[in-house]
This record gives sequence, structure tokens and C-alpha cells, in this order.
Amino acid sequence: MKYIWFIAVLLLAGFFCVSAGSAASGAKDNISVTNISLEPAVFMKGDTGTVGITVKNTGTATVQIGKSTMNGNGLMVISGETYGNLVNLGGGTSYTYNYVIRADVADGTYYPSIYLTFIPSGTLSRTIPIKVSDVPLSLSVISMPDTFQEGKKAEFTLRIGNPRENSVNGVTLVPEGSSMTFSPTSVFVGELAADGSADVNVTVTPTEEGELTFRVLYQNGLNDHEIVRSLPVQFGTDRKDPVMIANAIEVIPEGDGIRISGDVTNAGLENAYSVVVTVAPPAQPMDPYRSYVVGNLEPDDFSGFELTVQSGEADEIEMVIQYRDVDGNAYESTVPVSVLEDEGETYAVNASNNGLSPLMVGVILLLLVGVGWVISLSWRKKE
Amino acid sequence: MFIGIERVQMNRIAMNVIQEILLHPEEYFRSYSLEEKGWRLPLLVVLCVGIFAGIGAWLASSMVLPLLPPEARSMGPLMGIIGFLSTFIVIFLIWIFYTLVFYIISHLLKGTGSFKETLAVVGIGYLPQIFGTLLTTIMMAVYLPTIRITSIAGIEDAMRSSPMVMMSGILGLIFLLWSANIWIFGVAKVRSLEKKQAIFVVGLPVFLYLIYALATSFGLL
Repeated sequence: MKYIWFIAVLLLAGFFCVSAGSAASGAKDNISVTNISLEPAVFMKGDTGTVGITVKNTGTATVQIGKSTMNGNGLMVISGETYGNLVNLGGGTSYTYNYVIRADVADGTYYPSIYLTFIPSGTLSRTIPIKVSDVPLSLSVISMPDTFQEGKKAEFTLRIGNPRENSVNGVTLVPEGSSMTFSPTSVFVGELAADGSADVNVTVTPTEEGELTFRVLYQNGLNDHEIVRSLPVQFGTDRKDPVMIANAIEVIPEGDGIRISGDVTNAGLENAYSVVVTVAPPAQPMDPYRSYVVGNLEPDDFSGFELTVQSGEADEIEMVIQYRDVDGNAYESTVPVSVLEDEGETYAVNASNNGLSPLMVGVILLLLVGVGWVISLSWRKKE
Repeated sequence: MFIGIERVQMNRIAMNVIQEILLHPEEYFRSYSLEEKGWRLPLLVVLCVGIFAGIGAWLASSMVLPLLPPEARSMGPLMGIIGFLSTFIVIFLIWIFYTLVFYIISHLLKGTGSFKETLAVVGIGYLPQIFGTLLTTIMMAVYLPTIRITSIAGIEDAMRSSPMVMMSGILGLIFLLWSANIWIFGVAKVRSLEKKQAIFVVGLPVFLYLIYALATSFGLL
């Protein structure tokens, strides 16, 4: 009889235990993963990012989660694989586990998993697909000048494209190059959506030949990245630039110096502005035409000029044609002018100023006698 | 045919008139009457002088052209026209001026006769100057292309020392004397003066002009 009671107590205890275990098992079934967040959405090789796993207790009873463990499955979990603190997840509440992972792997999709261990018993696991793609932003030159010239502004239009599956932030274009000035010095584009692009205009003014670099800085999540495109800058002649040609140059001695006159023609394809004709040392300009301001010259247009110069003893002087392009860049072209050529003409003029020639005197005397005779004739009585 | 003969006769008459004016002005003016002879001859004579002198001025303006600023050189033809017209007008003004001077001086000597008649005979007296201005213009046409003026000062030098300019100046004075000789007879007739009085009336201003011209030529003025 005693054994009967003992058996009954054991059965009862066993029943209670089974009941309690069933209750605990039913509560953990109410735990589910409601959200997984990735930052960045797509990792690049070497990127560090966060994985956020949000679990929610959809039941009413509190569930105890003893620990959570992240298995990288190829990715490195750098925040520690095990999340050891006890979490009491009340009914209707959520909790987010954040893991920091690093993607030092080749491109592909990786599946790290998370294991939640409940108290007193039970587990929950979930795999998280994480994409790794090392495709960078693209930078293309939409337009640029055919040639570069010293001190002349060169306008670039660049297009920054995002061929990635996720958006990137903080996109900034920075032009670089020694002996070059830029306007603007950098261009902030900001967020660039997946498959999006942005056009950027940059003006580059080189003072020396060199290498022009465009650097695009951007962030994938919290990771800094950059792409670099370089272009050689070599000076050349712009096919459309104004070209100054001097024609019909005449050199006439005048007083202590010479007078240079002629035509200057714009043989280029673009307008020349502020065209000034003058001379280079050692020749010294003198009044009244120290320098001659022609002004603007359209293509194929020409204008006369005149200079008065103290040539000194030089046989040749350098005539300088200064002009500017539409951007205000200054140019010079030099024309050598021989001073000796026309001196003979002056002497010819001087030689002719030697007074009346005997022939002229003879003609005058003849006329004088003739007119005198005619006058005397008029005073005689007509027969 | 008949018209041709008539034209030959007309030309012969005209030549006789010109010959008489140049060689025997006293004979020509003895029977002169403005009403009878009309304005055609004096106007034609002064017109010819004006045209030839104007052409000379046109040629002279070409000397200045190289001295102009390049942008002003397109004004060259306009300058020639202005030179021609201004000289042409000045010749007519000088005609009136001479007449006025002769008229005033002869008036002081109790001369009678109208201003119009005086103007006509002074115009006829310009006849020798047709040859003078024609000759001068031909000389300028030949000589000017050989001159190269390099400055404004160079024009002055050329005007002062150029043999062509000197010769044309002397020729102008010689032909002026010839004109003065004709004016004496003409003024004596139309102003009813004695020859001595007419010599004074014409001679005084011409002499003064002669002195002025020579003085400027030799740089005294």
C-alpha cells in the first residue's frame, strides 16, 4: 500500500514536470526573427559592417535567452561570436543583436548564421545571406579639351556612376595635380543610388605639363573607398585658337626712329580680344604710337597698325602682337622686322631736295622771257 | 558737214579771242562791253582754273595719306574730294577778292563802272593762269609719286624745299604777272581809268602778294 502512494506521488511529480516542460517549450515557439539589417547592404572586400538581428516575443510569457552565437561561415565576426548576456524577452517585446563582421573574402554571397539558446532549453537558428561585391564606382570623362595650353582654362565634364547594388554615401570628386589650379577645388555629390550617376563640371588651369588626377572618394557603409583616374596634361596648340599674322609691313625712317605700319590679321577660328601691337626690347617705342591697340579681331578680320620706334643700331627689331582669348588668357606672337630695308627711300627723298635743277631754272627763265615778251607785246600799238 | 565747218569757224574765232586777250589785251578790252560779251568767257576761264587747281589739290592730298592712322586711310578718296572742292571754291573766292580790291582801290581813284564789269574782266584776266595751273598740275602728277613724306614735319619740309613746289610757286607768280597785265587793261576800261591809274590799282595788290609769296618761300615769314 505504501508503494502505491509512493508511485502515485512520483507520477504526480512527473506530470507536473512534464506540464512545466511543455509550458517552457511552448513559450520559445513564440520567439521569431522579425528583422535583419545590414550596413552596408552589400559589402566590398575588406569592408567592416554591422549585422542587426531583431528577435521578437510574440507570446505573452517571458522567454529567457541565455546566449546568442554568430557563426561567420567565411566572414569574420570581429565583435565576438558569442553574445553572452541573459536576455529576458517579455511578451510583445523585441531585442536586437548587433554583430560586427568583416568581409575579407572574394566576391560572392555568404551565409553566416545566428544561434539563440533559450533557458531552460531550446534553440533558434537563422542564416543571414550577405553579399560581397568589390565593384567600385565608375568615373568617365564626358568632355574635355582637345589640347591643353599653359594658363588656359580647360573645362571637364565628368560622370560618376554607381554600378553597385547598393547606394553609397559621401561621394566627393577631388581634382589633383601639381602646377594646376582647379575650380571648384572639390565637388560634393553626396549619396549616389544604385545604378545612379551624377555629372560634375571642373575647370582645370595648368601652368606646367604634368598629370591630372581625379579622385572620387565615397563611403560604403562606414568604409572609405576611392577611385582614381589620371590623365596626362601635355601642352599643344588649339586648332581653333586665334592666330595673328602681320602683313604689308612698311618701315619708314622718321626723325630719330622709324615708323612701322602694316596689317594684322586673325587667321584663327576664334575671336582674338585686346589685340595690341608693340615692340620688344632693345627697341624702344616712342611717341606718338608707342603701341597700337587694335582691339577685337574676329576670324579672318584684319586691321591696320602703326608704331613709332627708336630702333637704335639694331638691324632688326622684334614686333610683338599681344592678344587674349575669350577666357582672358594672354598670348604673344613675335614678328621680326628688318629695319635696313627701307632706309634707301629716305635718302632718295633727301637727295631729291637739293633745290632747283638747271633744267628747271632754264624752263623758268624761258617762261619768264616768254611772258615778258608777251607783256611787252601787249603794250605796243597793234599795227 | 555744214555743222563741222561751223564748228571749225567757231574754234577759229575762239582762238582769235584767246590770242587777242593774251597778246593784245588793250585791243580786246577797247570795245569790251559786258552786255555784249556776256558772262560765258569769264566764268569758263575761272572754271578751268578752278578745275586744274582742284586736281592739283587732289594729288597733293595723296601725300598726306601715308601719315594718317591706318583706320583713317579709307578716308583717302574723301580727302581728295574735299581738297578738290575746297580749292575750286577758293579760286572763285580769290576771283571775287581780287575784283573787290581792284574795285575799292579804283574807287579811291575816282574810277567809275560797275562791280559786275570789273568781276568779268578780272575773270577774263585769269586766262594765263589756265596754263599756269595746268602746268603745275602736270608737274605734281609727275613729281608727287616720287616723294615719300614720313611725317607731318616732312610735309612742311617738302613744301619748303621741294624743287617741284618751288618751281610751281615761281610759275604761279610768272602767270600771275601775265594776268595782272591783262587786268590793267581790263580795269582801265571798265573803271574808266588812265593806264597809270590802272597799273597802280592792279600793281599794288599784286606787288604786295608777290612780296608775301617770296617772303614765305624764303622763310622770312
